[in-house]
Amino acid sequence: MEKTTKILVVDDDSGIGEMLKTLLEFYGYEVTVTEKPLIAEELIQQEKIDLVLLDMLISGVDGTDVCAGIRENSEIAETPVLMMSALHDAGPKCKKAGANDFIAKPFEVEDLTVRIEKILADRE
Amino acid sequence: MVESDATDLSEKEEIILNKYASQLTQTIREPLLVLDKKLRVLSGTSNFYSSFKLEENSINGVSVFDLNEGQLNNPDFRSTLEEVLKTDEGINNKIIEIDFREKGKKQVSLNVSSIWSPVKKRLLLVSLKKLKGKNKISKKKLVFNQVFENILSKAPAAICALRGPDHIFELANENYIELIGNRDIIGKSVKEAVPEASGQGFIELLDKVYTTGEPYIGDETKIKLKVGENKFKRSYLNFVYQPIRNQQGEVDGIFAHVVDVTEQVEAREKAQKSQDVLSEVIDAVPAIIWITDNEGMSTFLNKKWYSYTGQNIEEAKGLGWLKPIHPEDVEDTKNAFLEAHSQQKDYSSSFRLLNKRGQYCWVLDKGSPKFNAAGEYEGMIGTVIDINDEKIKENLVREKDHRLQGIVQEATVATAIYTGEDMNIELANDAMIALWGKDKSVIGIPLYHALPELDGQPFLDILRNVLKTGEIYWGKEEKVDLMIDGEMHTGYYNFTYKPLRDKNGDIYGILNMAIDVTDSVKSKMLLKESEFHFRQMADLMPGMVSKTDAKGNDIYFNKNWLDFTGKSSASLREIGWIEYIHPEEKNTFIKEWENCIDTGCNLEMQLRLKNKEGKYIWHLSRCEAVKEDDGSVKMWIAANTEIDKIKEEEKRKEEFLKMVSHELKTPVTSIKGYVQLLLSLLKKQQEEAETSKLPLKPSLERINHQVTRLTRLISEILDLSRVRENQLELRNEEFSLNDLVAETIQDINYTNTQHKINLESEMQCNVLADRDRIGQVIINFVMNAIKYSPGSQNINVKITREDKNRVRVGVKDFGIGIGAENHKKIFNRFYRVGVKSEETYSGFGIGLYLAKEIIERHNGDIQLKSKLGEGSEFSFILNATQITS
Repeated sequence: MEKTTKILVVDDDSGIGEMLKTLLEFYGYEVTVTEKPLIAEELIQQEKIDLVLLDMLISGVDGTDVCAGIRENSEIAETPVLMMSALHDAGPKCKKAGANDFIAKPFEVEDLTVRIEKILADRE
Repeated sequence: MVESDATDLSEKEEIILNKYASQLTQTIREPLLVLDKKLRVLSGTSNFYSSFKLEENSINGVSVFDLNEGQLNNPDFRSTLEEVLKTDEGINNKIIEIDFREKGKKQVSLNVSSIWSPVKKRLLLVSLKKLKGKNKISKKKLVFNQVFENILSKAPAAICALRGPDHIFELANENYIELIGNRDIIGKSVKEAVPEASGQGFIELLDKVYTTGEPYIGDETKIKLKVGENKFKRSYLNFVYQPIRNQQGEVDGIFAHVVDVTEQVEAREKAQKSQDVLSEVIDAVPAIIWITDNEGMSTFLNKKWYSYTGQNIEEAKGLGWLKPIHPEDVEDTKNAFLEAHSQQKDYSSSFRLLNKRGQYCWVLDKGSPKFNAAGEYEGMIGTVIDINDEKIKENLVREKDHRLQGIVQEATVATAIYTGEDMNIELANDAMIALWGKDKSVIGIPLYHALPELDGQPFLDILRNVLKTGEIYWGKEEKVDLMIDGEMHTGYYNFTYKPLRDKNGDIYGILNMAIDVTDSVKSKMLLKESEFHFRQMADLMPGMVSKTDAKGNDIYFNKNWLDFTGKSSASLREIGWIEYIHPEEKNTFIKEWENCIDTGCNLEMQLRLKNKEGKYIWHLSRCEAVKEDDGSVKMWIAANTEIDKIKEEEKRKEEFLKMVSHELKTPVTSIKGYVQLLLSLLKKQQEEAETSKLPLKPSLERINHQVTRLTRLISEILDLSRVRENQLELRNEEFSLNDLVAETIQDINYTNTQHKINLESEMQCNVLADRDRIGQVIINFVMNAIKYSPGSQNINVKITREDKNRVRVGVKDFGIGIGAENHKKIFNRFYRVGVKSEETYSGFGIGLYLAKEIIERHNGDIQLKSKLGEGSEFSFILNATQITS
């Protein structure tokens, strides 16, 4: 069996986190959820995360800063980041911060999984 | 002595009278008495004395009637004398009887004549002649009578009587004897006594009178008489040779009455000679000389006049001399001359006089009245001299002057010339007189008389100074008080006082030119006042106000500007307020501002301005053009109102909306996720087991669809608010339009299972646009196509080339279609196609409105082709940056 893809979900809204964990696990991903963006980098390293699903607006913290932090952290800089936001026009900002892709909330599950697979495929 | 007349006569007159009386008797040989008017004897001839045996001069002063104890106291004699005194008429040959005592009474012939003496006393000449033999008496009497007559009428004169054909001197008075040089002539013939007369034609004259009996009158006849040994005297004589006839009427003698007029003649000749000399002098003078009589009529003109004018004496007489005067000058000359003549005053006139060559030359004619010794006016005397050369020069100058004066007079600029210390108004044109508020009567009088209101104002002193120093004075917007229609008016004038110099460079006057600038000054004052108000207002205004000229150069900054920047007005002007604009807005502003200056359009823009602490503050900047009447820009007023707080609020509102949207979408995202998870589970179950009887799947699908709709509505609300506030920001990025369309269709296909969306691309193209917004438009078109074609399956999306640089994206459905009447309305905000099943087609009705806004903001076109019942095709056209087939 292939190595399971590990996804880190960073979202301050627990409802979203839980939903995504359930949904993505259903699609066969190994999912870690955190509401604290400050430990994201640490988690990526510890858990050997393959992809980060990062919310743009995390209470008090700007998701793009988290993304930029990842890109600046040489240990984890290559980690793919898929950013998401309820602000449907936030894509460019996220991409500018180093995100591989952006998806607006709410999204179609299929759209999400396609984008994830595409990023992972691109990386390989 | 004449006692009786002593009271009437002065001593001198008495002497004259007595001398006269004795002269009378001395020249007469006959017995003759001279009596005064009281019939007293003044003188008597020696013959009288001898005839009456009286001693000479013993009877002087004695009454004639007392002579010889009353010998002549005869009634006839007395009555005759009294009659003569009374009538003043003489008595001839009256025969009276005189008692001669021892010789008895004898007849006497009496002649009495009344004469006036030089002292205006009446005298009587009385002759008494004894009558002898009849013939002799009568003959004698005749001769005597003739002689006597002539004495009476012609005395004192040289008188003689010649007898016989040989002209024997019978009688001659003393004057005569004196005339011929006191020669002894009585009893001698003329030839013998006056031999020199024969060579001068006198003897012949006498012969002629004697033979013809015709008297001869000689007038100023020249005669040479011997007055001494070889000594001759030339005399001029007026004489009468009167034939004397005897009783038979035959000529037997000649009475000669001679008046020596030598002195008069010589005097006249001398006068004539001197007149001739004078006349020659007059004719030789290089001027025309003329003389008139006391009627003003020309009586003399010297030769020069005639040679000059070619007139003859007759033509020039009276007023004939006016004839050769130029027609334009003749009337003035005539009037001037006649006026001088009538007032007996000096006369002067210059006129053009026609010379005989037919040319008019300028002459100066001057005359003076002439009075005689008694002070009576005798006429005018004068000269005419040629001044043509001078006059031509003068005329040139005058013409120039005249032209100048004409120009000045015509000029609209108020102009005046003052001359002399008194600043006499030599000239003032209508404009100047109007400026003064005076009339033409001011010309010729001193300025301070004409404009007494100048007293106390500085202008007279300035004028005097100009006259003294010769320096031009320029008055600029000077206040002048003038009395106009009895009221003082204050005006403002630009004027010059320019010294006028004659050809020697001496200042003789001042040229004053003035322009009334009252209106301009007053409006300037008003402007100043209004500018003051403007500044005051601008300073009090809460905003930052500045002013520029028409070209955008800063002129003024209000206090708030200075406070805001911490700069002085001068340094602000130097820097320019544009430098305070935030770099992000600066270029846009400059571009807009340049456009404003070119077009005169107003500008409104939000921008940030840097304050003195270096902090950028949001302002609403409005630049408005202040225009002239003709529409040209006079200046710009720029007002910058701080909108930082408003801007903050906007930001908050934006944040709020964002949060609303975010907050709304978060649960939706969860719901959606779960719904899809469940749907996936159901699908899996269906594949693995028998279909559940529960309508779980359709319910969840519906939930999912509704959540999608809800999400879009939330987004649209946000966009709408942005469009309304002009805050829809566009990003420009170049991207592949084909990719965008494909991705969008793919996204839609995730949720849409009913329709088949076909994509057809004619070519590949890139556009420079906001990718998300264009995607939004495509979603809108496709979603509408899906929404309004429930009965059909196909939706065709086409990317085609519009023209060289433009591409078209069209979305065609085969649904309900839109009537032509709604083609425009459909792009209006909140417009929804009015169909029955509203529920089905729910929405805010802002999708197309937003789509239109987005495309138009990209300088593109949005189009609709549709017919009711035949489906619709929405498309947009954008500029492409790259097109490849």
